[in-house]
Formats: sequence, structure tokens, C-alpha cells
Amino acid sequence: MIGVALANLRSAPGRLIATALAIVLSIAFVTGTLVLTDTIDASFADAFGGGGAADVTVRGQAAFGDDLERPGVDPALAEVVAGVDGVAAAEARYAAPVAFTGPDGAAVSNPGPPTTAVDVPTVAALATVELRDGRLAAAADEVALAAAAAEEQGVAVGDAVTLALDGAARDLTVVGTFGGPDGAEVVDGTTALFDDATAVAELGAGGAASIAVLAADGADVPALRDAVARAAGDGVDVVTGDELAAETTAAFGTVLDYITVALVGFAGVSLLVGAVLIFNTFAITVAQRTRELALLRAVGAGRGQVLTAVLVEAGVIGAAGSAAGFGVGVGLAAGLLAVLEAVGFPLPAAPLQVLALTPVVAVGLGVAVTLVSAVLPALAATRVPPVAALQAVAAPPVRRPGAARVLPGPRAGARDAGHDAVHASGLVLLAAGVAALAWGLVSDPAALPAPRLAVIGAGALGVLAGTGVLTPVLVRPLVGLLGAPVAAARGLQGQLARENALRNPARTAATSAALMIGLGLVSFALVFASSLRASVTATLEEQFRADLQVQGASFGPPVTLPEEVAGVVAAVDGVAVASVAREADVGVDGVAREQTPGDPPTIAPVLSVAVVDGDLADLDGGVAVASGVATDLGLAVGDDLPVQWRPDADPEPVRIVALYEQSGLPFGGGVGQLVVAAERLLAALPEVAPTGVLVAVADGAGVADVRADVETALADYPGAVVVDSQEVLDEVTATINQILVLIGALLALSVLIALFGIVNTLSLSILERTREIGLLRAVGMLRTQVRTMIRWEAVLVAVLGAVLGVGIGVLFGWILQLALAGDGLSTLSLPWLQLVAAFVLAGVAGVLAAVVPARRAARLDVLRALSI
Amino acid sequence: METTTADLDLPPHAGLPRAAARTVRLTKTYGRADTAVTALDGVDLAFEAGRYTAVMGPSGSGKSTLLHLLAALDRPTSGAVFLGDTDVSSLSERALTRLRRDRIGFVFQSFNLVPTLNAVENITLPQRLAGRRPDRAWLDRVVATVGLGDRLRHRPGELSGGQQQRVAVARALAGRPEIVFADEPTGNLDSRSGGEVLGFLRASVDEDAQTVVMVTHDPGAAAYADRVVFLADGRVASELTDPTAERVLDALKRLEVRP
Repeated sequence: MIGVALANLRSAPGRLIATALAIVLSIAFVTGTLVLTDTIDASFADAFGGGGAADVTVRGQAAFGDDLERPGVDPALAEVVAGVDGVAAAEARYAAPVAFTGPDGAAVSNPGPPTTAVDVPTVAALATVELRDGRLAAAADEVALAAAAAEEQGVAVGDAVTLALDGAARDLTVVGTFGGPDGAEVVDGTTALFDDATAVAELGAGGAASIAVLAADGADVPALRDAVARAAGDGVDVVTGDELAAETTAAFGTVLDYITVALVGFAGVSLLVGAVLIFNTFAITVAQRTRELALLRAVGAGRGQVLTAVLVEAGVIGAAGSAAGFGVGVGLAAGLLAVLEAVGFPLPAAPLQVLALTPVVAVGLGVAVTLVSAVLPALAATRVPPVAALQAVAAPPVRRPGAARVLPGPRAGARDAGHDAVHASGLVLLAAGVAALAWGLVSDPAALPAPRLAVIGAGALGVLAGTGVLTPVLVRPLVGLLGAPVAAARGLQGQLARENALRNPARTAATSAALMIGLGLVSFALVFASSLRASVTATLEEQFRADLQVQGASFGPPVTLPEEVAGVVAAVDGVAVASVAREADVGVDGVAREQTPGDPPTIAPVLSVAVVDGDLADLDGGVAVASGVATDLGLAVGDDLPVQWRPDADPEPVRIVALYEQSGLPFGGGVGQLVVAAERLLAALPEVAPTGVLVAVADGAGVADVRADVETALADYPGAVVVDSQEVLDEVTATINQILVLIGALLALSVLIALFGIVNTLSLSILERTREIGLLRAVGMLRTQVRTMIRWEAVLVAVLGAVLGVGIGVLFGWILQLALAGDGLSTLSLPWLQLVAAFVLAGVAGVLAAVVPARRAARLDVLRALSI
Repeated sequence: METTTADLDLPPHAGLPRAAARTVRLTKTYGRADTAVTALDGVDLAFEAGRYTAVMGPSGSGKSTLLHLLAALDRPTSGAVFLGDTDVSSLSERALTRLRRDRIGFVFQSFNLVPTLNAVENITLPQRLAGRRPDRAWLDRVVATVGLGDRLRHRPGELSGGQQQRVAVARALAGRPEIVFADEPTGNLDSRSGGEVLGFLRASVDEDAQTVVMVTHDPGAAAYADRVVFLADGRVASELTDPTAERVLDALKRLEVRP
């Protein structure tokens, strides 16, 4: 029988090509997705998780868990630490935010990890970078730049460059470029290297950033950490390199988690799409061979032997196709990354991540799905009595539920029972999904057994899976409906297109599933992004009354501004109010509470705070509290709030004078949980520097004019950037767009695969209907009419996928918006234009998918088609 | 009456009623050079309008090839096919398709119907492909003739084999084609259903002057025709008018014993 199987592979090249193509495409998609997701994941992990080369790090104590902002360390501690047993070397390291300046002298905001300037370590083993060109800085007016940053800025060794360092501009000469170890790019944001003396002067205003400690050979690092901690005394925090790396990763954990979950979701989707595509193909090819398998059975082959033959055949195709698919997938991922880079969206770090597990998963999945996909229809085929199957098998009968069947055999009944069971399970999945969704959305988060988003996510998954299972049932009404205008406009060809799409609902459902999943995710992402933008806009319009905002140039943690900036801005003609924003974390009830802008006498014209009780004007030495916090603590206006200004300080009672509704920007920003008058804040924490100046323009003065004047006044402060609310919105939009581009790249892949899925299924369906097409041609169907018929069938299948996909995507987007409404995603916004574009895209995909199959069908030789 | 091939070796039109279709030195070979097989070898035949002609012959005699060439489903290697005054062999692919749609009716042995269309949709298929409204009165009459009144909304899968062939006959007649070609129309039917189908074709000739050309190997089926043409080895071997099943059988036997 193995001989028969192999002979089969050689003798039916058309079918073999279609099957192998389905496997290659599916596995290419799975591999591409895995490689892309691993690469994206790794690049983000690298960007945010760089641990440095130190075995032990001594740093300032974090204020209430905010790992990004720590006070400096006394550089003198380096000598103390160096004396500890087991320490080979200890050195104070300096770092500060740095930015390049644009042609107008203002700092250039840089999306990506924060860029920093650091000193060159004197201990070579502590270095995290390698020199690429030139030399390291040796004088105060020299600097070495990260090679990638230098290239981006278009500067080379010997050129002059202006850097904004802690708000001040510095003219420097580039003396060298550097990269990461082993030829890689620098991934932790290190952009500029100063010589040690300059670094101490320029970067050491708040002390050293940390003390890097190198352990002696063979030293026990955790023990060394404890010893160093004892020697360094109170007020500092000592961690090992591993702890630091884990912590940094955790600090960006939410971001990474979101990304990882999204990427794993994509990988899962790709597996599903691939499996559907392969299964689909085999369902057709093995069904076509029912007669051949029956012949084998009739001449004496046992069922087991027939199955073995099918298995061997499937195994060979599966292994070969998967291996080829793996290669194609790696190529696809590399190509997509190149495209991303070409259109200006380079990933933070680039080496393509092909993990050892990837080929195992890809090929293993390919072979497993192929075997299952081949065996199930083969099993069904061997159950057919050989005699029955040997009778003329034309196109498969058209099943029409409800209509009387001419030959109702026991087989039909059994199959219907099976279908009913599948449909029942689909309904159960759908119901469970809806229930979980409702539960997650409606009930108190504290009462849920798992995080709210997890419950909602599980519910969404249930709805998706249930819909997938139920799609065959939905095909009839939906395609009937979608096909009605086609039948009306295209006459008989339109009617036949609709009927052909309907003749095997399960196949149509499976074919459109790939597109459904892809477009479902696209529209989900679109709805989310659109709602995010709308929410930000609404919040900005509602809360930020400031006409202009002066802020530090950076992405990520807020960059402080020099204290005198506020005065400079206030002195500009046409500035009515210049309210200084300061942010600090203080402790209340042992929990870090973000404290935001606030100098109450000047806050009202620039920032709208929805006071629910009391009056902000009475703030004085007291505090305004977000009503949610007050409720949690059981406090009201007039009570004392125990505020812990510093981690090591005792709580101090501060009178609550007002409560307000906190409605911040999505994912942070906006008004924090406490508002304290600047005087009160500075009395307790004198080192808190301004993070921004909110400006209200005087009546009658033009915003643009005032802005130009403010920019002129701030010429000496390149780190200070003036933005208006539109630019704040643009910045948010730019971030959203960047995420959308990443998602789009993955989805382009899935839509592409879905397209080939339609081509493949359509080609096989046409093969199956050869005789019918021959008949149509014989009685007078023109070639163009054949093409029209097939084109519209493909369009109907594609648009079906779009209807289901966009429907589910919008539903999920709406659910996510409801779930995150409290976190700032307050407005649901449906991007109609893009959603309509998704339908048009699906239609175009259908037309494209039909080109080759339609041409092949139109060119069928009528006589040969009739005699099959 | 019996004639030989020599009697038919006449110029076209000579002494015959108007021909609905005719062939001139029609030749068809398959394959090339040394492996070529000649299916039809210079056949000259005319099919009179308003008559029912059966084409018979042993397997490989070329009868199916003749029908395919007459019906514009295939192109001759040499020679010509005329449908009325149209030289079919000179037409483009598109024109051929239109010719089949507008001027020819077909009844095949099996798989005559589009499974996704119901009976009446199958019957009006050629007209709808042409974008024409079927002639309602004529359609009703055809449908009534083949006795499908209550089955018109059924799909082929819900019809018996005999009913399916009746739908096929109705489709072939519904467009009032110049000529109807039937290729073993009763091959898959029991004798009663087969008799009905042949009766409908006969009636269309008698009552509406329809021209029918049918390929068959069943002497009983051939007996419904006005004339039987016997092919052997790609040539017209003999011919019979006003056949009975016995005379057809005799003629076939003589064909077989020919050297």
C-alpha cells in the first residue's frame, strides 16, 4: 500500500501541488508570525531590559516604587564599596537624559527608549559598549556617539554636534562612534559618551547615577550584594545585575505583557488559519478520491491498508511542505522587517530571531495537521460501501436543509447528528463566551477569580471560537443576503456564484475563516486605536485648557526643566497664566500616589479639575484628593490625609479641602490622585523640579504669535519644547500609528495567506465542478460569463469573511472600550472609513483570488470537461 | 429502403430537402503523426430540417465525434460543418459558444443539469445566458409536454433520473433551436423513462417540425427516428429510412460481418 501511496504522489501532480501549496503557505505564515513575534519581543525586551555589565549596582532608593526616578548616589560611596571583600572594582557611573537638537535649536523628541548620556567607565570590564570608529572623548568639548544615532543625525567623526543636556545646549565635536558588544547596536538608549571629568561636571548634578561594582573571580554575587549593602549604609538600594535586569523588564512589564499577549495571540491565529487551510484542502482532495479509494477497497484492500496509504502520502507531503514553508516563512519575516524599516518604522533592535523551537513547532504542526486533515475525510471515504462509491460520482450533491432528500440513507442521518453536535458545541462556546464577557464587564473586579481583562479576554476567545464553529450555519443566510444584489446585478452568473458559494457551507466557512480572523483583528485594532484617539481628544479638550505647554523633550519618563524656565515663560508678552507642573510620588497608606501639577491659584485657567466636593481655591496648605482614593480610605473633606512625603519619613496629616473626579488620559497622564499647592510640595520636597509649564494665552493675543515669542525666549533652553494641544494629540496618534503599523505587518501576512487560501480552495472546487462547467459551456456560457461567475463566488466568500471579521472586531473593540472606560478609554469611536475600506479590500482580494482559477475554468476544454 | 455510401456521394444540396446541418469531407484525427487515429474520414452527410435522424455504429465508429463536431463542441481537422448556411468551422470560440447557446439544443447521456439550479432554471438556462426572457407561452407548452408541471421548483438532486432527462429535453426544446443533438439520451434510463424521452423528441419533430439528431446504440431508440445513419471506421457505412428495431438490428449485424 505504501507503493500505492507513493505512486499517487507521482501521478496526480495537480492535486499534489494544490495540497503542498496549502501546507507551504500555512507553515510559512506560522513560521513568519513566530519569527516576527520573537523578534519584536526580543527587541522590546532588549530595549527596556538592558542589565549592564556590573555584578552589583548601588543606586538611590526609589520613591514609592517608581523605578524610573531615583535620587543620585554620593560618588564617594565608590571608595567605600571598593574596600568590601570580594569586590574587584567599584566605580561611580553618571547618566543623564540627552537629546539632539534640530535645525531650530530645539531638542528633537525621540520616540523609543529614553536616550541617555553616560560616562566612560575607567574599569574596562564595566563597559557596555564597544568603540566602532575614532576614539573616546578625552576633553570637555568632545563626545562619542552611538553609531546608529550618529548615522541617523548624519554626523561622522570630526563633525560638530549640539546636544541638549539637562535643558542646556552644548556644542561638541564628535570624536568617535560606538556600538553594543559583539557588533550589535546599542539597545539601552545610550547615545552619548563623555569623558569621566566632563561627565562628573555635566551629568553629576544630582550625584552619581549609580555605583557599578565588579565582583572578584569566584565571588558569590548575592553574598557580595549583602556585604556591599552593609558597607554602603542606609539611603541606598543594592541589587545584583540579574535583579536589575529582571526589575527593568518588570518595570516595562505591562507594556511587554500587552505586546507579548498580542503577539502570542497572532501566533495562535496563524496556527488556526494554517490548520484550517490545510484541512480544507484535504477535505476536497480526499473527497475527490472517494472513488479511487473505493476501487482499492473493491479489489481487496482493507480499510486499514487504505488509511495507511493515505497517511503515508499525507506524511510525505506534510513533511516536505512544512520544511519548505519554514524556509519561506523565515524569508517572509525578514522581508517584512525590511519593508518596515524601508517605510520608516524600524524595530528597536534588528537581528532576526529564529528560535530553536520555531522549526520544531512549524514542521511538527504542519505534519500533524496534515495527517489529521487527511485521515478524517479518508476515514469517511472508507466507510462508504465500495459499490456505492464506484457508481458515477459527479459533483457532490447539493445539500439543502429543509428540502426533501431523494435518497435519505442512514448515512445522511448520522452525518446530520454529527453536525448537530458540532453546532451545539458552537452554541455552548458562544454562550459561555458571552457570559464570561458580561461577567467581566458588569461585576465588581474584586469579586472575579482572575484579573478582569483575563476574564473578558477568555470570554472574547469563547465568542470567537463559537462563531468559528457556527459559521457554516451562518453561511446560508449571510451569503444568501450578500448574494442577492449580486444575483440581481449579474443575472444567472451572479445567481450561480451565490449558489456555488452556498453548496458546501462548511467549506465556504472554512475558506472565509482565515479572512475573518485577519480582518477581525484589524478592525478590533482599528476600533481600539480610533477610540483611544477619540478619548484622548475628548480628555484634552475637556481638561487641558492650556493653549500651550512647555515640556522636556523626551519619550518615556518625564524630563524635568530648569527652575527658571517658568519665569522666562511668564515674562513673555501675551502669556496670561504660566502654571508650573511638578510631579512626585508620595506615600498614602503605604501606597504610592501620583501627585500632579498643581499650583491652585494658576491651575484653573489651564487645567479643568472636576471638583465634586469642597473648593480648590481653598487649597492653601491642604490637599485635594481623587474621590476614588478618598472613598477607599473612608475619608471626606475636612479629614486629615496621612501623607508620607519620603519613603523614610513618617506620615504627616494634611487636611483634605476638596475631592475631584479623576479622569486622566488613557494609560497615564493627566491629573494624578492628589493635588497639593506648589509651596506645600516644595516645603516637603524641595528637589522636585518642574516637568512642564502650562500656558494660557491672554485674551486678544494670537496663540501662534505667543508661541513664537515663547520659543524665542526659550532659545537658551534647547531641552524645553513648546507644544500645543494638537501636537500633544499628534504625539499620541503617532504612538498609536506605530503600534498599528506593527499589527498591520502581521495582518498583511494573514490576509495574504487568506487570499491564497481562497485561490487554493476555489481551484480545487472548480476541479470538482469541471463537468458542470463543461455543461454550462456546452449550452452556451461564454468564457467571460464563466469568469464572472467564479469571480463573484470568490468575492462572496471574501466579503463573508469581512462581514464576520469586521462584525466580531467591532464587537470586541466595543467590549474593550467598555472594559477600559474607567482607565481613560472613555469614548467609543468607530473608524467608518477604514471599516468600509476593509470590505472593499476583501472584495478586491476576492477578485484577485479569482483571477487564476477563473481563467483556468474559462479555458477548460468543453469536451474533455464533459467526459470526466 | 437501403442505400450505400456511393449513392450519397453527391454534391451538397443535390436532390435533398433543405438541410438543417451538413458536413463536407469532414475529417477528424486525434494524436499526431505516427500515432494518429482517424475518427472521421471525409464524411459527407446532410440532416434534413424537420426530421429525426439517428446515428449508429459500433464503438470507435466515430458517431460521438460526428455529433461533437456537428454540435460545435469540437473543431474538425479538415472539411467543414454547416449549420444552416453558417460555416461552423470558421467561427471564433466566442461565436461558437453563442451558436450553441442560440441555435442548438443538447441532451446528453447523463449529468445534463446544473445541480444548483432548479428545473425551470435549468430549462431556461441558455436563454438567461443570452440575457433573453424566455417565451412564456412556449415554455409552458414545453413543460406541459414533458409533464414536469409540479416539479419545476425542484433541484436535480430531488428528481429521478427520468425526470432529470425530461428537464434536459425541455431545456433543449425551450429555445426553439434550429437543431437538437442528443447523445445517448436514454443510456442511463430504464426502458419506460427512456421511451418517454424518445417520445418527447419524436413529438417535437412531428408537431413542431423540430430537427433532431441522436446518437444511440439502442436499436429500439433508433426506431423512433425517421432515418438511421450507420457509421463504421469513421465513414458512413449505410443508411436506413423509416426504421424498425428489427431492421436496425439487421443492419447492425451486417455492419459487424463486413470485412
